Amino acid sequence: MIRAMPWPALVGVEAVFTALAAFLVHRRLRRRPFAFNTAEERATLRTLAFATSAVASLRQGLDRKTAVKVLRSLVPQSGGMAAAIYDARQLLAYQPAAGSRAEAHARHLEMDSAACLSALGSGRTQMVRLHPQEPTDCPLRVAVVAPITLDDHPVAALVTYHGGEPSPAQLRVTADLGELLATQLRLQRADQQQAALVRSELRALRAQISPHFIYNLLTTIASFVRSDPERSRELLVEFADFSRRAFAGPSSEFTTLADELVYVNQYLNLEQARFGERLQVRYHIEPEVLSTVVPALLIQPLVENAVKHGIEQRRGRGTVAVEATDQDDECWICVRDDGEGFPGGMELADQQGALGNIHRRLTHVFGPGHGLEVVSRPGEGTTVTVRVPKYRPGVKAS
Amino acid sequence: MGPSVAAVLGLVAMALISILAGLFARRYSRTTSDFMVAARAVPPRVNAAAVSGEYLSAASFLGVAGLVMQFGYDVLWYPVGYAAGYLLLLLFVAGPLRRFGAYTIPDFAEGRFDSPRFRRLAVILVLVIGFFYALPQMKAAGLTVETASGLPYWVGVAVVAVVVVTAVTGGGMRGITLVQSLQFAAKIFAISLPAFLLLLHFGGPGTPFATARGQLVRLPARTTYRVTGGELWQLPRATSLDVEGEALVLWSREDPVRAPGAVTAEVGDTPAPASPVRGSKHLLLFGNQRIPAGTLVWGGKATVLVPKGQPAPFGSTTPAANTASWSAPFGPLAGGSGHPLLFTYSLILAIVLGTIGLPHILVRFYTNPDARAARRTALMVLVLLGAFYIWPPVFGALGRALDPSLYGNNLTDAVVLVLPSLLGGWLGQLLLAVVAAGAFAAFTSTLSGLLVSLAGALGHDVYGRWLRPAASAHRRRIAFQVAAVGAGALAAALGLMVGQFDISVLVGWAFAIAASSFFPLLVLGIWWPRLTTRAAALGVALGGGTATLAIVTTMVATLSPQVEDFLARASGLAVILAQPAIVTVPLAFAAMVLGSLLRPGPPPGVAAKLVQLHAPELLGLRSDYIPD
Repeated sequence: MIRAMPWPALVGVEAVFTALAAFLVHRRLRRRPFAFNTAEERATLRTLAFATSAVASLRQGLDRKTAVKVLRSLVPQSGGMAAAIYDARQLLAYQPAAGSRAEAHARHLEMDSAACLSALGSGRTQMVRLHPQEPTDCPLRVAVVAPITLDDHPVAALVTYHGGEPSPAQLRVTADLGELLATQLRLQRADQQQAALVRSELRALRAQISPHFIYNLLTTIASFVRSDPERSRELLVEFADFSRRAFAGPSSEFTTLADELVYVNQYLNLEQARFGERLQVRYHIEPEVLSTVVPALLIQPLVENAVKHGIEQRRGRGTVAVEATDQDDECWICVRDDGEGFPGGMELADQQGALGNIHRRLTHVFGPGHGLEVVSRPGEGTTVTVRVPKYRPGVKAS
Repeated sequence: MGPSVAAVLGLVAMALISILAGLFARRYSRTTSDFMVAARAVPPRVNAAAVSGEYLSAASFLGVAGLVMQFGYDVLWYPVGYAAGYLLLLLFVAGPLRRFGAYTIPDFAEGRFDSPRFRRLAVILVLVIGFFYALPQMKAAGLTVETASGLPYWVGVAVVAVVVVTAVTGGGMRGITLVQSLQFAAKIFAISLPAFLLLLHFGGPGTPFATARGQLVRLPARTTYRVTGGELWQLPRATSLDVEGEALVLWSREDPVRAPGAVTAEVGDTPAPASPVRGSKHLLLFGNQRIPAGTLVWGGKATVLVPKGQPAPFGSTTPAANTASWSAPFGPLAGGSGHPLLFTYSLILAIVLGTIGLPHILVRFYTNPDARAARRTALMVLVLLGAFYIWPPVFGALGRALDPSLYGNNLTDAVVLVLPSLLGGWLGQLLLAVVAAGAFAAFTSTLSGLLVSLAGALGHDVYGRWLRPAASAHRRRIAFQVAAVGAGALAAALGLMVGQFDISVLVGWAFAIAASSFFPLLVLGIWWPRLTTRAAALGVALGGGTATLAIVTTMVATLSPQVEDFLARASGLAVILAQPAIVTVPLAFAAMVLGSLLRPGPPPGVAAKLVQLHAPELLGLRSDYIPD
């Protein structure tokens, strides 16, 4: 087949493929809406594009930089000759529409900022007359001030400028655009609150070392003081080390698996002193994943849970196994016990306490597919599995 | 040479050792007491051995020696470049990339530019490079099994594909540091010991190397060739042949007789067909005859005996100029192209720069605990590879001196597998088993690393992120395994079609594509804050695309006489198409730099990213301190 083809044909075929590929790439990159042709469809798309770009900028918060970005895409939508954004104290950005000669107004912005700020304070959409005294070279006559409110407090204002008396529709457009910006700012605040919540849950984790554990451990150490002073000394040092980290809480949100395992190992050493032969510990750690970045205080609470259910609540021996395996682009961490187990599933999302906390942190950081997986059968013990991606943008140990 | 029980045993033994070591590493659990010792991260020297083990592919183990035997001096750039690439990795990429925490190159592309779309582009290139790299491994597999057991080429490819795919899907051979470092040990042992003993046996390096350097290689023993119809021989001097029965050949003094199939008549057809090429004539050979220097094409199957001391006949893939300039620079490899300097520089660029962009190598650096360990690993890889790469050229030179009959059969790629049996007796068989085991380690380790990369890109990225982002862990796992089977089958199918290309040339192409796409991305992405997302994507697509296109054109040209004729006339273009790096690497850099300067606007948060890449861990700097 190929043998029979003359070379110009081959070059031609290759050229066609290259051109096709280039065209597809170009189309992907430009994201031009080829398929939409009527003026209405284009207008709809322009508006939607504006809404998404405003989302992208404002989710980082409102400052001079994002205000400029928002205004650039907003001015053509506003129907005015120019637009500006104020925060509660000052002008953040002013953007004239292309070809509107509204640049001239930049010189007069000082004059009307007081009027705009007072309109902002009122919390209602208002009209402000610009330089009423003398007819100037500036084509702008009226500003419409739409306050942006968060929790009923005006925190910023969107101002559109018009050459004459604005129509009721134009007033309405400005007010709605202001409301759109307010929605984005609320979302941004929700993001912040979510992150703050996760941080505070992280801080709260340090308090979850149970008094029961400390009491039992100290009793155990006391029993060694006469019979095996060296061992009691070792245990005390280990406990001091462990408690420093436990009470101070983690220094950052993420750490490496190796660090986390050191902490887990300390904890299990102490538990083994407490339970003696009753607690067997097995590790299976593949060295390839030791440098994986994991949420801090991820494993120790799981291990504590396994000790509680696998050993404490029953007679005789029990084994707790900690496994970390290399699964291509993920590291899988398993904590198993061979205790009583329990029937049925477990709803982790709303659970209080350590497991629920870990589950929420994991899904917040890595997405809904990466929460805790708990598998348990009566009489066969419980296995808790975490799948941590080896790399996720923004997740780094510090 | 015939099939060898010892060689097959060597293959099987290596397979068993790899699988057992993998199982051992997976199943081995520790109790508390020895946990802390074992919990320490993999030390750089072990990691370096693992990186080298994954890196030293069949191209290094078999291909370099074969190419040296075939082309001589110029080929030394291959081993030099393969090792020297790690110098650039050490200087520019290893440390920063480890600090960044990226696991794969697509991870880096996504993280550095905050662009999931860029990630897709990178994933596509991972697939292209991975497949190009997998083809020569398949060829090596077919060749090794063929040489060792006498089974047909396609059986070898199929068997190895099945073994590696099974191991990868079963998790038996998957990127385990212990197994990979073990395979490095197997490889360096398997190549250095036989070379050393061969040198010892044939009287030190002096005598064989002097023979290899000579203008003309003569057969050291009476040699039997079994030729098939259409097979081409180049006779550098007048040669005496002893043909069993009779055979029809087409002989020409001046013009190279092109196109297998030029001789269609079988012996017994009368009269002989008219000669299709000017200055050529049909000859009916029988008994002992002396053929003048020139090119001849065999008309049918025949058994030919060439007495000891006669000039060795060369096959179709070895250039005629080989006889004159084997030991000089710009010899048949570079000189055959008509633009030796251009060819050589382009080759060096491709190989030295391409190492950094190989998808299955960078993932191994993730195992290092920090940037310092990553740099130490890269340095030790350099040392280990240097120690390894001394030996393949030695094999090449020994092959030319001791067994030039490989030229006539186009079997130079098998020289490493063939030479040990020259020692004779049980020692020869033992060494043959060792070498076969080393070759098995070479193509399985690289192939399994590549398959994991390919299956990861297909299963986790293409399936798990584009097609079904909501897929469960279980489904993603199945997708990975299906992708591994599919990628293995595809690579095997393509591997059956690349039999006529030299292993190292195929590998060189994978390097050229990597050098033109990922190398600029990594170097500029790590060191140049003003690089914009759009320009980086443009550069990667342009460099990788043009390099791939050029190489595909060269491959197609060998199938189409018209294209071949055209390229023969435009030799400069032919060199650039066959070794595109000298054009495509600067093209990618230019696209990135000009694109970033013309439309500035680096991605947001670039300052924090550069701090993460470059600030030493001990400073304890956090990106929070850096205002954007």
